[in-house]
Amino acid sequence: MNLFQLILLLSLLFLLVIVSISKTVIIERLITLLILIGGILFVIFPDFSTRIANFVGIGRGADFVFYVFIFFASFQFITFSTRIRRIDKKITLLIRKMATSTPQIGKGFNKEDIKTINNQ
Amino acid sequence: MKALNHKSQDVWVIIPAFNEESSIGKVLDQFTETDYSVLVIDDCSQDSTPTIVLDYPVILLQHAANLGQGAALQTGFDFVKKYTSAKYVVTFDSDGQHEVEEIIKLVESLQCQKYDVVLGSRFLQPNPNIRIPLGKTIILKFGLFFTRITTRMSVTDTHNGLRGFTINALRNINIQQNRMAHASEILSQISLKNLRWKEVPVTIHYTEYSIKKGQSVFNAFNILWELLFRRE
Repeated sequence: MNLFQLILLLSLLFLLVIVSISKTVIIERLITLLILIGGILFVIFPDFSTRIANFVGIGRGADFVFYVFIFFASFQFITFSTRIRRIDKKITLLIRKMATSTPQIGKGFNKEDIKTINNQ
Repeated sequence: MKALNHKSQDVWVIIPAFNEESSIGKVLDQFTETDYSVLVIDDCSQDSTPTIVLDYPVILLQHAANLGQGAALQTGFDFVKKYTSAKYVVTFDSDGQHEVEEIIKLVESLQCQKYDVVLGSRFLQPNPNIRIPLGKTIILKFGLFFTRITTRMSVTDTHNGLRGFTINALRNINIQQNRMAHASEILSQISLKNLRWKEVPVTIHYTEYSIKKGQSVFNAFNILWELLFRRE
């Protein structure tokens, strides 16, 4: 095992620990764990990736790993953008709720209305 | 919170404002002679817009962060639906390009109960004295083309801030597009919910200020982008 493999292995193991104790959605965690375990196997047995690559019709193991990486990176990207959109929506609703529950009365607006709003 | 009791509670004018300190005063001045109830939504302006607004007999709602004009309008709709006894709601731009006198045309069209929504159009009866800048025409025609395809409504002006709604129509409208794509979104919801609509000719004043504040040609692409890729 060369130095690069060792560094890669340690960082993957580190990620594995983080992911397994994280509190994300179970399906996301499982997928990530699967990728990490796969990554660890590929680091320890580089020939393994080549064999899979040949099996699915790709020349080199590195290419296979690269394609899988792109696939999961896109998957993550989509997950994140959906999540961001969801958060955006929540922020909008929150800001709207704050705004509508604290109306401010301009000078000269019917005084009785001011009472109605402030008393509630 | 109970419904507000205002003597002119029938018609509420919703004015979304973002950094409009140089024009909002003039716009609100025009309303002092009318008996419309005015609701201003300050979309987290960084200037003195809210301070100026509070000098007028209006209600001010403030967004804690900037969300965009679409979001501001929806905030106004929510407030009016929940806390007022409004029968008609008119949206009005804060940059001074609309005329207060034209609100009555919208309200009258709604009062005859034939329509749920009345849209202002600058192209229906073009005012020969007012020249629409070429850049504007290009964007507007572009918007028109897109809207006609997606909603199949034969509108003549898609991005006009002057619109009138009955309160029941508003219950069918929920703006999700926080930024400028809301104009097309409102139209598609009108079409989807089969609301009865018509256009009335209105005048748009192009001041140097409103042009600067308004949409640029590039923004048309932003709107298209929002519509295509920001759908839920």
